[in-house]
Amino acid sequence: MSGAPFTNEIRRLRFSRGEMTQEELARRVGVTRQTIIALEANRYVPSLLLAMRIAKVFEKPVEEVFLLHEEGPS
Amino acid sequence: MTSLQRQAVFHLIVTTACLVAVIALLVITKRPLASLAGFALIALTGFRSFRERGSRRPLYDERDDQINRRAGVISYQVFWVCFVAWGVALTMAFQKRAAVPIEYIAPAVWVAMWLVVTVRAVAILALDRASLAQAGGGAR
Repeated sequence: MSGAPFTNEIRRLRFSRGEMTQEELARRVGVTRQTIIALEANRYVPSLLLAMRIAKVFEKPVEEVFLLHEEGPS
Repeated sequence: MTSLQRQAVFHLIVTTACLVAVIALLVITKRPLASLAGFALIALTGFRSFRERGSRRPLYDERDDQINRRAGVISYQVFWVCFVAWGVALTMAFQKRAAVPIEYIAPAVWVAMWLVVTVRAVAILALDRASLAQAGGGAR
């Protein structure tokens, strides 16, 4: 488990969606495969637009795909 | 390899060729100022490295853009430190003569350009590698 404050469920969701490949997801959201790799490793924080596109592919709300693990100002 | 990485590799090839050309001209002509003509090869960075026709995959995205901007900042930071260091060194070396010979000024322009292009290309490849380091390239 990464200690990153911002994680995601992309990898799990890909496999639950008939083992969708990184290449396929990248193509559907309009980014390179390297970006999907970096996202899954929690090494890159996506733009809101990309986050929403990814959530749309998995037919989930953004907050179910991307998780914030820190107490911030409310 | 993304379009940005390919471009960075191409720029590194050009700057290496540029350095080789300058050193070769220096050896052949034995005239330091004439050898600076080798820096003209930097103009090749204006060309695209590879044709990418027919590809349906995205070749450049927001992560590439972020890496590109960070690499740009790093390259200009390195340039600025070197620029200031060169200025201080010239001042210390020539302060009693009150004038710096042109052969110490002219190369600085081309070396600075070479430095910016080289550091930027290296930074792009390093930042890209760093962001993929934990994932491993073979992940599905």
